[in-house]
Amino acid sequence: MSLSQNVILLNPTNQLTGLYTTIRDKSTSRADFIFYSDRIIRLLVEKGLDLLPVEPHSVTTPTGQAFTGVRFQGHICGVSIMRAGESMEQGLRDCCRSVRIGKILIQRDEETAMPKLFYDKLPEDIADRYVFLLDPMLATGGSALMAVEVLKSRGVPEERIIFLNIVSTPEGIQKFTDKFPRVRIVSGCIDEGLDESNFVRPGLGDFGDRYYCI
Amino acid sequence: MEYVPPWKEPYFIAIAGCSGSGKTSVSSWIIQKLNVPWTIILSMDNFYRELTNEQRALAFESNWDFDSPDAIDFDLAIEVLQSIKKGKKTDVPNYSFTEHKRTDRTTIIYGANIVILEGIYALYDKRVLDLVDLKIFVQEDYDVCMARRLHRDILHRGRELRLSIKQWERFVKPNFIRNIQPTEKEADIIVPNGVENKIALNLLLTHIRLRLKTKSAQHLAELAKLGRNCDQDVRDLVRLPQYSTQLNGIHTILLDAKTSRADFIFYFNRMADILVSLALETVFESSVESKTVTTPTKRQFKGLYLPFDKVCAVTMIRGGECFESALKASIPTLSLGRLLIQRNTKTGEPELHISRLPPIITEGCSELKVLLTDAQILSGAAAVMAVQILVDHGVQQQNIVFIVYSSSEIGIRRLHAAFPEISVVVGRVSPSILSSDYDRCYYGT
Repeated sequence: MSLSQNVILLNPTNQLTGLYTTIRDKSTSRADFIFYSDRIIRLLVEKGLDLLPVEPHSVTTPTGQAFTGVRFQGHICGVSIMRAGESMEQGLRDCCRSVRIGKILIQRDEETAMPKLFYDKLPEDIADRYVFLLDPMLATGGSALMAVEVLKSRGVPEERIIFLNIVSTPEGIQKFTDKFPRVRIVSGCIDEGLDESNFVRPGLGDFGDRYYCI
Repeated sequence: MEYVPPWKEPYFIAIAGCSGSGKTSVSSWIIQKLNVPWTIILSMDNFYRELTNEQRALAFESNWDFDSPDAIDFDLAIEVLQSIKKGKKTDVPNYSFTEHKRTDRTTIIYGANIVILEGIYALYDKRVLDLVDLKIFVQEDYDVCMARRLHRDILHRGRELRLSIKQWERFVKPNFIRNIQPTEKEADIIVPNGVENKIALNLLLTHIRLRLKTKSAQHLAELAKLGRNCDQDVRDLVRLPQYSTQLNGIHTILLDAKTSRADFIFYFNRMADILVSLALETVFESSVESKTVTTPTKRQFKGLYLPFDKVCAVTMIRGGECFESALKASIPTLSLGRLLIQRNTKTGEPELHISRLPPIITEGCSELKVLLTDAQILSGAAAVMAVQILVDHGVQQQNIVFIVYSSSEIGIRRLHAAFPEISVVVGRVSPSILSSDYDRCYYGT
């Protein structure tokens, strides 16, 4: 599968493979699951932040010398898709001080079996911000696509949305790039695909359950 | 090019004399006056032979001759002294006088610059004499010696007067005359009246200080030579994180004199996380095993096992401690050690003050990977010394990853010249010093 240039993957180092091995293992304890997931989330956030624009900036160092570097441009905010996406908030906060974070709750409608928006709370000036959309799993893409719709309806242009996820599927990515080609997806790993019950193969189970409950 | 730390070939002083002549007082006086932390007194008493049960029974009745040279295990003493002389971490046995046996515990000696060996037989064995730089014999009248000995036996060791006198007459004095007094001729200097003789002691002190100064100058000269002949591009000797705009932005914040402390700490932590992650990538390039796991949806995944249990970290107080939150966030159940190496403001020589290494290092696991951290490397002297300490404790050079935020070029070259096999992960290498205050900004003091 050839990837759109708007799909960015983490470098597949041994360390990363090892982190994934732990969180995929069903015998991993919740404490370890959280520790290792948090590591991957941190790497995703750093990778995502690298997509933000900067401008040249000169400073004077403590030894009185001039140093020309860069300065971060533009405001950002995070939007987590409840509940699993909330697990990624701390990773974002660890890299962006006092970042504003919005929430979106999307659930499957029992009658139509389609995703339905139940709740959202977003920063008022979200249209002026870069948005980090947080959801650890991009499986069918149903809820994430709906979340992007919500963001677009609040005036956020597609090219200012960066979707961070830990595991994605070729199907989910395909739907995204077809529908929102300018949204950038930062993913830690693209899995084999979906099975007949729409579970990710090999996947890691229900992320929210493993991070918060089991 | 080999680096020679100051604890290699430590200055050895041997002090002998009759029991009760004041050897210990002289040793303590010298140590106190030198007033440097890396001096130790080693008593020959540590090397008493193990006794059999019958011998131990005799010892409890004060009928065992502890004053004969046969009571001392000179082979063991030589082994220990030679190890200390080589600058290695050395276990010194402990002897219990209350139980008349070696205890299970040993005292670990490491990093000593000056070793004072004191004991009645300190000048007895030719092999000991060969290791010693300065030989002192403390001379005192028999009656003074005897009075001191009785005083000590009765007041501090709870012995009976009668037994003490018996021991003196039967063992202590005859052995002194037969075996110890003749060693006087091996001494470089004979000090009459022990610790009362301030003129003799001050002469000794001046001599020792001069020798230490020479040693310190040699150490500095060796350090200065390290890495001078290396003209490789330093970027080929280290691992730098891949360039990114975020990284550049963080550098800019950390280098800006106007950055607030809150921002400084926040961004330093972020940088530390990136560097620790890169260091772990380096570690796991080789030491991983394949592992297949089953996912909750019962699928197989062929992955890798990361042996975090064979990774530990040692931070240099205090710059290196800025990495601790990043280390703890990246390594589950991290074991963490600390080193304090400070530059002597008078001589410029780096000096080891504190060495607290995690037990996993001292247990001697050969595959153990050690992440060593410091905020910056300037001359490289402290960094080289820190790596030497790990190597002395049995850590393989190729298993050490030095993590540092900012380094000078010469610092990297020195480190590479002394330890070509270690990995160095560095945030920024620059020819000139843009800031030297990273730890001060981080801690605010």
